[in-house]
Amino acid sequence: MRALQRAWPLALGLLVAIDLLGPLAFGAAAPPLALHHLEHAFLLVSGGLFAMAYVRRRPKPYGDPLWILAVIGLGTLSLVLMLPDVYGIVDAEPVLHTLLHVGFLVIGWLGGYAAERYAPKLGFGWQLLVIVMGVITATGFGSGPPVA
Amino acid sequence: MAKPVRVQEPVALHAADIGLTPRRLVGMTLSVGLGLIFVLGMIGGIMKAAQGNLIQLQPGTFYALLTLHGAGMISTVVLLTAVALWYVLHDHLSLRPDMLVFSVVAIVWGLVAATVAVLVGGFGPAWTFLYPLPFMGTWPSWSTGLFFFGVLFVGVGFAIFCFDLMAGIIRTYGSIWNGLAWDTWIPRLRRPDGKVAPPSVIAASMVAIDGLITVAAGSVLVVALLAHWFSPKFPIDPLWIKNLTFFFGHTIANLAIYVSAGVIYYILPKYTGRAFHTNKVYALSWAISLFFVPWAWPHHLYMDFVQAPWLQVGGEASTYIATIPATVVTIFGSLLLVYRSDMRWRPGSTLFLAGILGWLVGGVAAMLDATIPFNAVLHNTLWVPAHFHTYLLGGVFLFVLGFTSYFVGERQTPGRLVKAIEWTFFTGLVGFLLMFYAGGIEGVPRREAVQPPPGPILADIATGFVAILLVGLVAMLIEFWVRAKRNAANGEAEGL
Ligand code: HEM
Ligand SMILES: [Cu+2]
Repeated sequence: MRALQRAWPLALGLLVAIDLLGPLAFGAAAPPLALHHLEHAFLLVSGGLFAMAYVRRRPKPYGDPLWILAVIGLGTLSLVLMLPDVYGIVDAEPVLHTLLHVGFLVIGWLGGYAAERYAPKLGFGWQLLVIVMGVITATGFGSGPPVA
Repeated sequence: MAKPVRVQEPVALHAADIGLTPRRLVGMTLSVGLGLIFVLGMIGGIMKAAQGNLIQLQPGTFYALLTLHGAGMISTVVLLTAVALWYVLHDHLSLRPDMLVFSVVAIVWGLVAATVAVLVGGFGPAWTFLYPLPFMGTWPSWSTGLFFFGVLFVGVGFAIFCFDLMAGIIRTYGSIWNGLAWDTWIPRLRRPDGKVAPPSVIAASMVAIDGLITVAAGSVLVVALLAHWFSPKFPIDPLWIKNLTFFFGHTIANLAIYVSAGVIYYILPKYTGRAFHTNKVYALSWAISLFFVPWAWPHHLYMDFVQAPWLQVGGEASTYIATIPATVVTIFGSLLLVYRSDMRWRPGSTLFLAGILGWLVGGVAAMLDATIPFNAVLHNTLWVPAHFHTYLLGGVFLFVLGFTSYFVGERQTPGRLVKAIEWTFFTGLVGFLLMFYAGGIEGVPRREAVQPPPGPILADIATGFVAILLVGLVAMLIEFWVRAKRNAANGEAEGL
């Protein structure tokens, strides 16, 4: 059990690393839209988990309200970046696409960090936000019948 | 109420920095919110008068007013119930006044944006802004965008509230699961000091979680609509967005009731001298609501034949499962609290009990409508505004008024004047609601500037009742105001 608790960041880090190689390995061929949204959500969540583990080892006193505004701003930013029109710009360029994925990881981390800085364990709230957004986007964000 | 156990030292509150005590902050928000409700209620009366041909309105104006009334009322009621719950829990959970300021300001900004979009731009696809209507009307494109930004701001304000609530619960009880009182079921979660969350905190925990889920859905919705507004090439699947619209719209309106339940758990005992106590039944009922409330929205889509059958059936089942347990424990618990107690009758207790009745009646009427065979007949008739006005206006709003009366201070027993005001208000309220139900039974469609008979004659009668209701409401608000001034001069705060 202990070992597992210590090993999860490593295991998750490995998964994230493999995922980040995706665009580089498959080139411009992006996964289907739904899967792609879930992939972005996975990166956001992973970033958040790392941040929560990081902050938990260095507990900070209660934070400024601005941390919560940051959480909300980051959530909105992640949605804007999930617009297929926006990330479509970088999809064709494997390196840029990978950078965007690193961006999702960083946003996830920052969101988790900001939430934990506002109050311990509030990273839970951030993760909830990101997971729900990810699942809902996967059900049809940016797809639909062609517009006349 | 259990004393909070601090996991860590609470931060110094910045209330003084912004020159606001929690009491003043809440008092100001209540004044603004109740004033808004009055104005939006007048708009409701104007709509009825127009439907009854007592006054003439261009259809475009009618639909714009309908949009403003719906969006404005829902946002204001969310604001008012949130502020009430905040006030009753702020000490216990060390909630932060500065956070409340952020969330009030965001919601008010959202309301201002929506009002400008409607009154200046004429935006009028109703508060549910179903795609593609917002992009097809006669109103200018800027008003569409501005309205969506308004919705986004209301969502942000509610998210701030939920985040701080969650932070406070975790800070005081160690985890959100303890806030939900799951430790009554799961021994492993039990706290060494044996502290269990009281029912008002259970309700708050459910609201914080489901509130964040709702806002997450709402933000996907609004970002998709704004993207389409910005670049019409951005594709939107109409069925997808309709589901999402009601996921957000239905759930946020529904949550106002659960927020109110938290307030009831706290305040009703003040009148009866007995408390609600957490037990396994409360914890379980609220856990059920927590899981099923976000799945009830499909009952808005029964008429959409392309909707997947599992969503239709699941939505119907979830509606029942989500509503019944928490409603039954709250209503039954409240009656037990009152039964043979030394109930002290004050305007607040009258309003709370009347509100519970409205919640019950409206809830039953809503369940009928959410039952597929009934829906086939009642869908889109005045039955719909009948049931939701019963539990929003005749339920949630009465809880807000009851809370305000409690907040203002109720040390004196009410005199005859107060009784007269209450009678006026309730007469108007019941008459207005009955006309809605009558229209529903007669199959008069909702959301129409011009109604087939017997719509107009019912609307005429309803307009009269609305006038009585609004006179009662104004009198009640003036009485609160006068009482607030007098109590403040005597140095008396809330309670009785
Ligand atoms: C003060 C008294 C009120 C009056 C006189 C009033 C009147 C009305 C009227 C006439 C309609 C249009 C019904 C139709 O023909 O479809 C309506 C719709 C509506 N009202 Fe009220 N109302 C009142 C209070 C409230 C409150 C307190 C709430 C919510 C908290 C509320 C929320 C709504 C909503 C959501 C709609 C639906 C709008 C739509 O169809 O898009 N109302 N109201
Ligand atoms: Cu990608």
